[in-house]
Amino acid sequence: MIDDSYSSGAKHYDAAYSVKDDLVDRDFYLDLANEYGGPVLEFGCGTGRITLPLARQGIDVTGMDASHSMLKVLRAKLAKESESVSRRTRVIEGDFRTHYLGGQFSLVVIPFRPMQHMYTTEDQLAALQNAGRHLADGGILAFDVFNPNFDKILTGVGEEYLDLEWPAQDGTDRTVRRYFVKDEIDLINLNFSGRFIFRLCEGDKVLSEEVQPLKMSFYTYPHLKLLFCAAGLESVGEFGSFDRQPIGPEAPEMIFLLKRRQ
Amino acid sequence: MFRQLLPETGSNYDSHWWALIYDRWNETGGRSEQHERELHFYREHLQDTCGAMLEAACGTGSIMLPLLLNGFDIFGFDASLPMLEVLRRKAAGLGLSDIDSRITQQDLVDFSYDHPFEAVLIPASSIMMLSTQQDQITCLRRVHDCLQPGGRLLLNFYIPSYTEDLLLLLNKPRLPCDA
Repeated sequence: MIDDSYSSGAKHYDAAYSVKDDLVDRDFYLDLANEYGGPVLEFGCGTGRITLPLARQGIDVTGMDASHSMLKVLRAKLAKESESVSRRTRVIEGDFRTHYLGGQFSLVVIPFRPMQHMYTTEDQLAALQNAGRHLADGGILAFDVFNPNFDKILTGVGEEYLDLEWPAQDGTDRTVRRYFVKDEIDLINLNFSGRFIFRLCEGDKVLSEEVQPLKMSFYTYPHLKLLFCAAGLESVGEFGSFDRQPIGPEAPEMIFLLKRRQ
Repeated sequence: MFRQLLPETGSNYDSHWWALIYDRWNETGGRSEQHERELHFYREHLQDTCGAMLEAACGTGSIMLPLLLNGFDIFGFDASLPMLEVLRRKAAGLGLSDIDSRITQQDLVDFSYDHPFEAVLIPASSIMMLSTQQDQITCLRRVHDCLQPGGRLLLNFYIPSYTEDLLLLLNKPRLPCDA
């Protein structure tokens, strides 16, 4: 994360996720922001998929990300927004384990898996502690991780599959295909490593290829509970999906609302 | 066959049959290789420990008795009286005369001593018997209270194989010695 390994990811990020219509996390976080009000701090804001809609709703938002190239995309998008949106949006390049902006936020959000880019217990704890330090009195921290499906996580090593496909948007009928291949699973530290392979295609002919490494940690429920305990946080809401179903064995997500423990 | 020997209800830890089966399983049965590896591990990592040490959930003494014979000043507790009874009989057979002053019946989440230990051991993945986070934390707090400053806790867990151990064998009975 810190070495800005997202550069080719940043280029493709918005186009890739614009074709993914099951990303219902955005409405979840927008609803939270409406409920708890601003200012909102977003850790791992990336290209602003959540940040900009928040600002457009009239909420003061600060987005923090360690990736210079992701933030470059966000800043370019921000330049095209209205004056009121850009006035409400602050973009900070920083490491959300350590970078501190003051404890004035009604809501801190870590949407769409940035916590799964924390690979050690120390980093996971530092991120949650730092998020907690940014909360104003009564403020809420919200984040999501996927609920690990071990059958899926532990199988398919070395098998490349087509994950997403979208128009290249270069005035031709070329498409970009994103493939994923999992290379390694670390069952001690609970993470897996793999690669996204971006292929520019004309029909089935591959014109060029770029590779983007991906490493993701995953969490079990009791592991998270202990992290909250150690970070001085208490859970005030838990959901198994963005439409607020309870956490259970079949739930796709583990989503938490946390307060600083009194 | 084992199934019929075990009590229909209640805990295995009240069962004399289970205590005997468990002891054989550890020392000569399907778990004996794993048991040897554990014994080797604890012996090696305790060799610089000269003070008193405690084995939590010592069971039938498969770790504790060999360490006593090696000259370690080791104490133990277990929740199961039948297990401790097997331990006592084995100790008598080995000529260990002071065993009664070394073992007590206590629970993994509720134990205490009036003298501190230089080391506490929880072998055989016993801490994995505690299925709630509250119990796990309580157990570790008790361990902390039993240790002298700078004292060490040594314990081992098995690494779960999520597909095989936990998911695929759901509702498929097998003998523990197949593990």
